[in-house]
Amino acid sequence: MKTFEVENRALDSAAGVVVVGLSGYLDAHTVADFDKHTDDLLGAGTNKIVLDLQGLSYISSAGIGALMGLSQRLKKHGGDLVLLQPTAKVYKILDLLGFTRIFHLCTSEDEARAVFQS
Amino acid sequence: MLPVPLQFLLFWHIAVFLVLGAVSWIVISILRARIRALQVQVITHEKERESVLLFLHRMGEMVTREADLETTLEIITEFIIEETKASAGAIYLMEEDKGDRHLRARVVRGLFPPLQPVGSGYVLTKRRYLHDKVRAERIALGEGVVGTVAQTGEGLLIADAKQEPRIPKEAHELVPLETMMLMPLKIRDRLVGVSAVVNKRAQGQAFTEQDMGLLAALADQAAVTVNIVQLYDELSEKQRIESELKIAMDFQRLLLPAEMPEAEGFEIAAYCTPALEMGGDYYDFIRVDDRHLGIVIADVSGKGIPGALIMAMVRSALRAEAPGRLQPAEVLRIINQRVYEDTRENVFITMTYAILDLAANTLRFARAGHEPLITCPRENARPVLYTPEGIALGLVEGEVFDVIEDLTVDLSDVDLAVLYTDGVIEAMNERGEEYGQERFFGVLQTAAAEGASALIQTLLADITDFTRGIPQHDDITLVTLRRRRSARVLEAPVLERQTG
Repeated sequence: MKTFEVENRALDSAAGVVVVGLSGYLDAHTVADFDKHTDDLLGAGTNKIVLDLQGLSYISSAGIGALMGLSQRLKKHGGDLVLLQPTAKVYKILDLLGFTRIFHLCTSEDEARAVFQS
Repeated sequence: MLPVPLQFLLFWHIAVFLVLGAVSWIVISILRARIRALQVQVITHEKERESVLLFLHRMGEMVTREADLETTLEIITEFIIEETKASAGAIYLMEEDKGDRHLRARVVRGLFPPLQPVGSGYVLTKRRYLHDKVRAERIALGEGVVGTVAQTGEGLLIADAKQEPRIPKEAHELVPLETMMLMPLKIRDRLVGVSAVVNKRAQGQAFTEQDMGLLAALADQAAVTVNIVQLYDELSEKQRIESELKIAMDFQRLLLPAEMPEAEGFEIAAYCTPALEMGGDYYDFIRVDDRHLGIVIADVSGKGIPGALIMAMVRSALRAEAPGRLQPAEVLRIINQRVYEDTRENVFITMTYAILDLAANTLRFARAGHEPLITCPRENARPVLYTPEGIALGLVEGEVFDVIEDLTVDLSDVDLAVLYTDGVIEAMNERGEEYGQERFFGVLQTAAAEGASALIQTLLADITDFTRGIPQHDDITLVTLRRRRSARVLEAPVLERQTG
């Protein structure tokens, strides 16, 4: 069974930035969990999210679609989405699709925090 | 995972939205292509264009309200009657009853006669009884005018209905028949039904070839619309995700080109096997002009029917925009704008669009987030990847998307050019291992010299060897092409197409 985990941790509670750690497989089967989790955050007023992708071993096109959807919803609420440390495999998928041009990709939490401060 | 009823509700919601988009897009796209091709006959086709646009608008209104088959057919029938200036009309659909295939009128409007002999003493005075009679008829293929049109797949213009031996005498007694037009409703070679109109509203006038042209254009759009709504009708009855996916898969197959293109001096081969779970791949060939052939490969992110409908939209949009344009990136920019406007935020398409120059022996292409184009140099050298800039379709609009660039590859010194979708390298065996890029390249390196179609065979055999035949989650699609070498012409296989 391919697993998927999603968990929150605050990065900069003063600035309202939440880090969401993803691990396992984000695909057609797990995308509903991801959407539910991020919808709850949005519902609670969060509009700045850093997705920590270190533990994410695979992302399918459905998963990419979910990232895109989340990014646009955050922007609609005046916030933004930052992707943190994708693995080489996930980076390759994102890069091929041209996502590296659309998203903020960061290699450290400090860098991610700076994106929201700028 | 969402519970199944919720999933279905969500699916339905997305589906209705997409049907609206798909119908609009298909109609507009076919229409645009037609306009460009037939600029000479401006006046006739201006009328057709207006009618089809109006048709699209009505269908759009209809789909937002409700997408059941009867309503759709009623709107289509009324619209066709109105636009062809007829006084009555009917739509017959193909039905199958215990293996017996026949046509039955599903909607009748106006004074429309039964077209089979009516029993004696049967006086049909009221229009309603007349309609009941028409709807009760089961018409065999080849029987009467309706059956003939269904069988031949060709439209039929009957300027003077009194002289038509295939219309029974009684029909004239019930409705004074002067003139009639019939047109098959078909998608590719598959017959959906027959549309028929009788008598012009202006008395004494006969239908003309011009009227036939208009009816043909409307029937084209009607067939696609009816087919999509039929699929949905079946879904709501069965309500089973598996059958939805199966229908989408069949639809996807229907959208692949029926035959390989003529490209003098080149050998081209293509393969697509839709997977049940993910679906969404397609390839297509478009004649750009006498010297250029457009080649498309794409992967739609949505699965099931939404995915298939988006594919249908994109395919129509490309077929409409590609002819006459020689810069692939420009074509993809246009397509992106349309996809961006008409799809949800989480739907996107990766696509490579390449234009083969038959005279210069080059391939100019642009890549919208798709897998790289690969060429296999001669002498079994390592394959070369081309990954020009480009973002997947439907994700961003305008300037951000404009980074997409054209790249031209010279085919003179390569054995083969290969386009593929990620289903190839992500094919999995039962241990969950991927087929992978290295093994893929290995096969390309050793087998490219065998030729376009032989390479596909070798590759598929190796993938099956790796997966041991376990069902795959994603479609596997490949398009290969190479310049025929004069010394090798004899051994080069004929253009070939396979679908899984």
